[in-house]
Amino acid sequence: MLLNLARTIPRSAANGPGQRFVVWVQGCAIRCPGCWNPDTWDFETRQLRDTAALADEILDTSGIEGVTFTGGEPFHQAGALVDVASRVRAAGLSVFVFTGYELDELTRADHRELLALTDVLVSGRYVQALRAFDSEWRGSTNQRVHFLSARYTEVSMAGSPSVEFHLAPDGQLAVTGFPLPQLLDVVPAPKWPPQNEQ
Amino acid sequence: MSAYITLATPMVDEECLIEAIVELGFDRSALVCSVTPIALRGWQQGRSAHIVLPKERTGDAFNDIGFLKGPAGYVAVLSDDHAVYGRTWLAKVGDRYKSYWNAKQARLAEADRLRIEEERRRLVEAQRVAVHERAKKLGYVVKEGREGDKIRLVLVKRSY
Repeated sequence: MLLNLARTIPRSAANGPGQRFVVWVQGCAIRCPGCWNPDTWDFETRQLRDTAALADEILDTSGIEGVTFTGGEPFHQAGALVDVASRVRAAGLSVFVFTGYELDELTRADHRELLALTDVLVSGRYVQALRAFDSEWRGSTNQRVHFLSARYTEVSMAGSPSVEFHLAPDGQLAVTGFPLPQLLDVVPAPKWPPQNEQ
Repeated sequence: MSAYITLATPMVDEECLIEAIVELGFDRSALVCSVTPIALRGWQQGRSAHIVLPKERTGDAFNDIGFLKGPAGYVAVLSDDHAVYGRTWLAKVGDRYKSYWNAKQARLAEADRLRIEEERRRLVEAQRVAVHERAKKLGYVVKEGREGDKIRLVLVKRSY
């Protein structure tokens, strides 16, 4: 089974509880205004990964307690993510999912299958006017955190880092989590997003 | 969704950047390249660039698109919401640039490679220090670690 990916990072502390392997899927029909990741909206193929191979890569990553699915919209590719989630959960890892849908919108059979394998779900549209910076795991304050298994509780959220930088040897600097705007211009160039002054 | 934002994909090599733009379908003969910055049409506040994609060739009624060379590499001057040459296109340029850059690195003589590596190390160190300083100013504690060949800086809000 194949999954259309935008990117992965093997370890992050700012995308759910503990250290987690993070998967950004490609493709989102919701397209919330002000979304952090509009490069993940397009449904064209970006990086096709075999789900079994991806699960193996996750399981080969030492010192993580789970996987996080974000995007893009994970529930557009629920079937493929069910395959990944079932493999990693069988090995004892937890599953955390960010979705732009509300929980009661996730009614399809494959949605339900993925929900059954999910420990924590953060649901709801991203609302720019309600943007949150230090609200654990949520991009805007309207979004809801659902603990779908007994593995985590609200206590797990306390003290969770909200931002993380990754600095590659080639100078590429990336930020993940829920950064304050003042953190985004930490390097002089290029500024993002560029301003349209026409 | 949680963010994943590439703040800096340093594109320092003109040749690799041009190849990336051309590979994505832009006509090489329509690119305008200059040693000194050229004024871009349609932008206020005197925007200029060293590499220009003229608006007649991008389907934009108002703005030229450009890449201005600065101390941290080329910076794109474009409209976020352009139907073709917008944010997604720029991400693809970054991807293609990396491929050309890696291929060029492989071709370079060892001495050149070492010189460029040293420049790169200095850039990485400057970025690392910048993140630390900004984070502390905003009230974060920074925990630094390594993830393979990457430096990972986890920012935790001070609770005292």
